Amino acid sequence: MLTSENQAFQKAVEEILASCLSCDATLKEIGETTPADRIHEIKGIIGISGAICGTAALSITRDFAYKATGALLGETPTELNSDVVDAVGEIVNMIAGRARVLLGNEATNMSLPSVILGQCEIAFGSENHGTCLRFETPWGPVSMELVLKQQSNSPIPNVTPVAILA
Amino acid sequence: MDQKVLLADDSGVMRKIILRALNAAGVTDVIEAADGSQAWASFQSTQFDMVLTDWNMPMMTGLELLKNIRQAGSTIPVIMITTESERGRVIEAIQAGVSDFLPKPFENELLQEKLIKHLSAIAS
Repeated sequence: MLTSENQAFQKAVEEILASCLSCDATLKEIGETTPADRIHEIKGIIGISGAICGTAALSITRDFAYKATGALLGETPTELNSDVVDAVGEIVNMIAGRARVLLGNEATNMSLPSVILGQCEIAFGSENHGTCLRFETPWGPVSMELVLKQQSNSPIPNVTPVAILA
Repeated sequence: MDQKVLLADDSGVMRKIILRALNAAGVTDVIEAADGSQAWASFQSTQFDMVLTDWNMPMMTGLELLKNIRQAGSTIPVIMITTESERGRVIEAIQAGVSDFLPKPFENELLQEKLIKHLSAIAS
């Protein structure tokens, strides 16, 4: 479903990949995350809290991560090193930051990004249904997995529980 | 330029990108810090001409670092490199004494432009 959050993240992915990496991403489909999404070996995850809360995870292949790191640094790595991990974290950070600006929500905070290496699936719990935005790029498939909720005015922030299934 | 710059960012990749831009602008005396706390420790022990800091960092945020620098009485330029571009936060940083912002993602030319502007002001 193309909610305002999904639209913001779609635009943010397209804008950041184009402007930072010179990589054009085209939205292919939107649906729930499936085991087929495990093709991605690397996830950059960021937590969001406040008026909108939840989790956003950028899933990419190893080859994409290498090319993205090369686009940022001018030198393409040949192994999964700290530059690759930092680059993935920075890209998801910029995507979430851009989405937040597009959503126009000042009362939203972002966590520091985390990067998970290895094929895995994010489980969002029985009451939360994650949405997966699947993109095609010249460097292969990219997914943006989202579980986001609009919060009430509760002074106690809700945290959406997630689990990483290896 | 012979000014000494403190560069604080928890992302090694971002530090490399910024360092390259600093070098291209003629700034070679750069001390790097991987979080706000490290940056604050460096700031207390070394005389810097400018600080470039990320906002969202572990241990101590860029905003907390900025507040510490100003509370210590320093008036050197502090540029925040951040995705946090909403009005409320910008106002908070301005009130804390930030000199300039560099929104991520940025073009190297824009970073160099800001560096030259603030470092030239120091030199003159």
